[in-house]
Amino acid sequence: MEYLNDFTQPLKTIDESGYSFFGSADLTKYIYGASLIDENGIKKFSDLEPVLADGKDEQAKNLLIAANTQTSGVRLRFSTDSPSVLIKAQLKRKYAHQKMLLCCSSGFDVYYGDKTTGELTHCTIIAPDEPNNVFAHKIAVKKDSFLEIYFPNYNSVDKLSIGIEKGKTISEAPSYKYKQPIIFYGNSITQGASASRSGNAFANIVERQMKCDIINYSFSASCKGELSMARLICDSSDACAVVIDYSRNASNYQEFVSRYEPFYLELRKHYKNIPIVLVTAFRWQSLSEHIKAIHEKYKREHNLYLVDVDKLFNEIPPTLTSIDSIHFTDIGMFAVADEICSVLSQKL
Amino acid sequence: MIINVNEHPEYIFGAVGGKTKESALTRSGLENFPNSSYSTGVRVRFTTNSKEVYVKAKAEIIPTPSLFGHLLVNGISFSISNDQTLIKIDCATLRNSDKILIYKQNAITDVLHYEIYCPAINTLNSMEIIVDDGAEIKPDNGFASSAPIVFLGSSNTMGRGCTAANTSFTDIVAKHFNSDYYNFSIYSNSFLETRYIEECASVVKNNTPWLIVSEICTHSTTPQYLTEKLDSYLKSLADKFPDNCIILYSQPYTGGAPDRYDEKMKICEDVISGIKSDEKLKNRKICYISGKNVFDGISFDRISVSSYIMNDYGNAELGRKIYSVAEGFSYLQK
Repeated sequence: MEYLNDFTQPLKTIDESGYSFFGSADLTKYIYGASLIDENGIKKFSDLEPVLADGKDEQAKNLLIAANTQTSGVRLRFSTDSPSVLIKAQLKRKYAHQKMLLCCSSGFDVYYGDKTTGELTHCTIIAPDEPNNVFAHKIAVKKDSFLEIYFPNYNSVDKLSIGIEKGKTISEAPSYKYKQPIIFYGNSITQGASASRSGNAFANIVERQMKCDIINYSFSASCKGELSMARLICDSSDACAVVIDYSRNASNYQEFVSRYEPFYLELRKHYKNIPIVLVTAFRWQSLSEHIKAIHEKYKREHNLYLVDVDKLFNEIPPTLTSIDSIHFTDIGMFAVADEICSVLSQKL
Repeated sequence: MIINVNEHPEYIFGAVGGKTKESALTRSGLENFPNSSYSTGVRVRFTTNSKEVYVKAKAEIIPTPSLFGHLLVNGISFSISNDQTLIKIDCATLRNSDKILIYKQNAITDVLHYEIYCPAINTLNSMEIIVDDGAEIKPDNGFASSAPIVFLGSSNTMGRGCTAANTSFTDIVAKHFNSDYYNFSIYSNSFLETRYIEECASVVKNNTPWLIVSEICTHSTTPQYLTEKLDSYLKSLADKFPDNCIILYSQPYTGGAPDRYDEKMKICEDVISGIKSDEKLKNRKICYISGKNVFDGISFDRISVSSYIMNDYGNAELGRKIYSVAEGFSYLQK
C-alpha cells in the first residue's frame, strides 16, 4: 500500500501511466448499496431531511448525517479482463474506532467471485494504518473471476478511483440470484461493529451467502425507529426481504415501545408480502421481550420471523460473541448471519 | 481508596518482573528482544466488594496498525464476574479517558472478580485501581494451579487480527484451564532463535509452567531457513523446559496461497516427527498442531482477517484446538 498526502499526488511505487482510471461517478452501475454516488462521495439516502425534521436533538442529527455517508454495505462489484486493478481512495477519517480494527472501520475488503456460481472467496483486506486516509493499492485479479469489494463500515469514501490496465475493459459482474435487495435497518452492530473486517458485518455475510444484493440502512447510535425513516426506506428501495434491528438506540423504553410497532407496520404497509425478520436486542431483555411480543402478534398473518440473538448465542462462551457485551465479534456476526440466511433461504 | 499497581505487583499477572516500578506492567525481562517492553498478556486481577470500580491507566498513545484492534494498541478491555458467571465484558480507549469506570453495582454489593487486560502492542506505564473507601480489595490469584502457561511466537500469538485481548487464542486457552499465563510473543518473530527460548526460560525459572505453546512462524521464512533452524529451536525448547508439556502450532492455513506454504508445512511435520522419535525426547509430552488442519471444515472467509492472520473466529477455533490437545496431557488428570 502506498500512502499519499493528496488524492491527486502521483504514485511512487506503481506506474500509473499503464492504467485507465474511473471515478465514483463512472462506476455507479457497479456500486451497490447506496443511492447517491458522485464525485463528492457516497450516501445511503440522497436526502435525509424528512428524518432530520422529525424532532431530533443536534447530536442525534449529526450522528445520522455522519452514518448516512459511511459506506457499510456498499460494494463495488465488476468483471474485468485486466490482470491487475488499482484502487485509490480518500477516506474522511484517519483514525481507528475504539471497538474495532481499522480493517472493519476503514477497510476495503476484497473478494474474488466465481462467474459461474457467484460464490465469493476472500482475497485480501486493504486498510490504512493510522494516521492515514489517502492511499493506493494494487490488487492482482484472479483470471476468469469477478471482483467484489466491500467498502469501509465506519468511514466515508470521499474520493475513489479505480484503475484498469490500459486496453482492458470493465463490465458488470454476474447478476445476483434475486432481483430485489434485502434491506437492513439497524444500529452500530448492523453497521458492522465489531467485525474484524468490513466484509464480515452480518449484513454483508448475508449478501454473500444468499447471493442477494443488500442495502444496509444502519445508523450507529441514531437508529431511532422514526416513522419518517420507515417512509424514507419505503420510498427509496424495493426489497425482497427486510431485516429490522431497531432496539438499543432508542432513547428510553417508552420511546422504543411507542415506535417499534408503528415502524414495523409502516414498512409492512409498503412491503406487503415479503419476509420481514425482527432481530432482538442482545442482553437487553425488556426490549427483546417487546420485539418477541410484536413477532408473536403478527407472525400468523404476516410473513414475519424472529432472530433471537440471546438464544442464538446461548451455546457460545460469552467472551467470544461480543467484545463489550453489545457489539459482535466475527463469531457473533456469523451466528446472526447464518440464522437470517436460514430463515430467508426458505422464504425467498 | 487508590491502589497503584506499579507499587503492588501482586495485582499484576503475566508480567515478567520489570526491574523498576515504571516497567511493572510489561515483559521487560526479555531485554534482548524488540517490543519486550510491551504489556502483551499482562493483566491486573482483583476481587472487591466496592460498589464502584474505576481505573486510571496511562500509556503513550501510538498509531494503530490496521491489523490490530484499537484496544490492543491504545485501550484496555476488562471482564467482571462473580464466582459462577461472567457478568460483563467491556473495553475503553486510553486516548480520551483518564478515569475509566469499570463497573458500578446497582443493587446489592457482591464480591466480584475483575480482570483488566493491558494493551498487547503498547506499553502500559501505570495503572491505579480506585475503589470505594473502606471496600475490601485483594489480588485475584484463584487459578486452578500455581503453574502458568507460557506462549511463545510472533504477531499471531500477540493477538494480531483480534478486536481485544480477551478474544486472542492465548486467553481462550488459559481461561479454559483457569491458568495464569505469560505471553512472550514478539512481532516478526520468525527467526527460530534458540536465544529467544533461553531468555524466556530464564525469565520464568522460578515459576515453572505446566504447558508451553509455541507458534512456528513460517510466513516470512524460506523452506531452507526452516530446515536449518527448526530442529535446533525445538531441541532447545525441549531442553530449556524439561518438565513441561509442549504444544507446537504452525502458521494456520492461508487462503491467499502463500509462498511455498505446503513445502514449509511438510518440513515442520518432518522435523517434529524426528524430534518426537528422538531417543531422549520420545517420552516427552510434545504435540504438534499443523496449521493446515486447524480450520478443517471451516471456510477461510470465517476465520481470517487476511492471508495468515486470524480473526476472533479463527482465534477461538485455534484456542479450542489447543486446549483439546492439552486436555489429553496426563498432567491434568492428576
